Amino acid sequence: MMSRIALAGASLFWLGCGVASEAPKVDLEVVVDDVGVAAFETNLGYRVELSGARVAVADLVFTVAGEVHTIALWQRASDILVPTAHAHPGHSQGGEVTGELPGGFVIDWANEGDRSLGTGTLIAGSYTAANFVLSSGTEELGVMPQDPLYGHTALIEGTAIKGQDTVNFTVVIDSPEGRELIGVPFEAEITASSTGTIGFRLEALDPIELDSLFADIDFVALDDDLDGNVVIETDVAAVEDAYNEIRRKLQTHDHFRFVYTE
Amino acid sequence: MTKSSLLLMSSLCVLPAACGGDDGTLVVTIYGEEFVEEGISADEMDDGWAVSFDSFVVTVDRVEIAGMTISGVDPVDISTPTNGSGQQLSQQDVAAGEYTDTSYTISRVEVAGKATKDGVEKTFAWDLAAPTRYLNCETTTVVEASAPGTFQITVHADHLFYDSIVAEEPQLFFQAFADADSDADGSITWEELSAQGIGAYDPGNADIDNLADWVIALSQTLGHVDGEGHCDVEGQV
Repeated sequence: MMSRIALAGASLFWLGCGVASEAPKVDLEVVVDDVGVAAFETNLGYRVELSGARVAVADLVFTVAGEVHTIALWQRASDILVPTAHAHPGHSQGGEVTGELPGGFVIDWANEGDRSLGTGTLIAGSYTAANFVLSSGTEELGVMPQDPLYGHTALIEGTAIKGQDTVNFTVVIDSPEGRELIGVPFEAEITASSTGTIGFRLEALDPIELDSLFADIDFVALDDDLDGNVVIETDVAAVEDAYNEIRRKLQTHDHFRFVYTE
Repeated sequence: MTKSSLLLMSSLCVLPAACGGDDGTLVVTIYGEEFVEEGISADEMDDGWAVSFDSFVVTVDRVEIAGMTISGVDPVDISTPTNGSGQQLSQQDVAAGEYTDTSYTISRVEVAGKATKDGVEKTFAWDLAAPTRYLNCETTTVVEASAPGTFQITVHADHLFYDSIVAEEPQLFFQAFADADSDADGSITWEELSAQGIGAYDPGNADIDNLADWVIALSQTLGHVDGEGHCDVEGQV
């Protein structure tokens, strides 16, 4: 697929006095940032350690702030580069797309720290957020039919320990096809001379609200056969509430972040 | 025609396309489509419930179009059959031209109706007072001296039963509301909705944890223009 940003060479960036010049854009490496998957404690007192945190994602885009005076300037350039998504009701956190890393990825945040996802192209500007699509594991992405992630969006595995109890858990999440996750934090000043990297982080523990992906999940209570293993997946009545809670959290911007490092 | 008052008609012509021509007539209507007037069939829903509305009263305010603001519109029950024409909110003389940059507010929606499936009937009567501003609407209203132009506020009632606030193609479900009838008396009250979690529904980034807040949020997606035209949305105006 030809990158929409590739069209930038033919675009103009309008300066305040009406003089036009070429829109400055930079290529920045996007890497997996594993800082957010260190062991953490849930609100129910479980210490959770993740052994796997695989999520299928696609089409990362980066957005600048929605302030009117900023948009007025940027829109002239960015409209030429990337079509602005219309804000359907509910889609009001998108900002203006002025950067992207297209393509599909399966990322294991627990085991692939610093893996390069590729080179993103961004117009210089004050970035505030990013969006991406939650997809599913396919052979095209290297996920074979025997892989438990095949056909699913996320496979999260680990251990939850509380007192003398240890539960090994597996969570399999399915998001609707094309489910876009909008408004992921990405605070960065990108200039024409920027040469750093963009880290893509899964934050199992939301550092702002201190709310974890497994808040309110009582792992021991879910282990009804007391074998020390719990599988949380869709369409299983015994774990339905837990599944819905975890899926809802994984599908919010609270548990992802992009971090720019010069 | 319902009562309306024209609070402000700009003396300045704000749209070049509307300047210098003859006068024409601009009609503002509201229409709930077949879903409101005839109901949502079990085939249209994804869980086999059929939904019909006894009343669907919408309070519209601050319709901004053609350089004027129309306020004080009486609430309209859009469940009344209109054979596709919708109901008229206002009629004004304006300069002939093409008008864009339209906006309006839905300040309240009061719905009452029932849902049926397999011989089970559940009734509901909910007051959804969540003022919502719809602006930058995707439409161009053409007013000619020889032909009136119509700006239609279109209400998409099926949105009330979406399973997702953010999906591009959400499904339509009533089962969660039916399950909220905790005393099984056949009437789904607001208190029962408030006590029921949202289950598998997808609120996106919104902090919603009960069905009352869920249906309030969905009520803020009802407004469209001229059928399928979208608008930007500002809640709680």
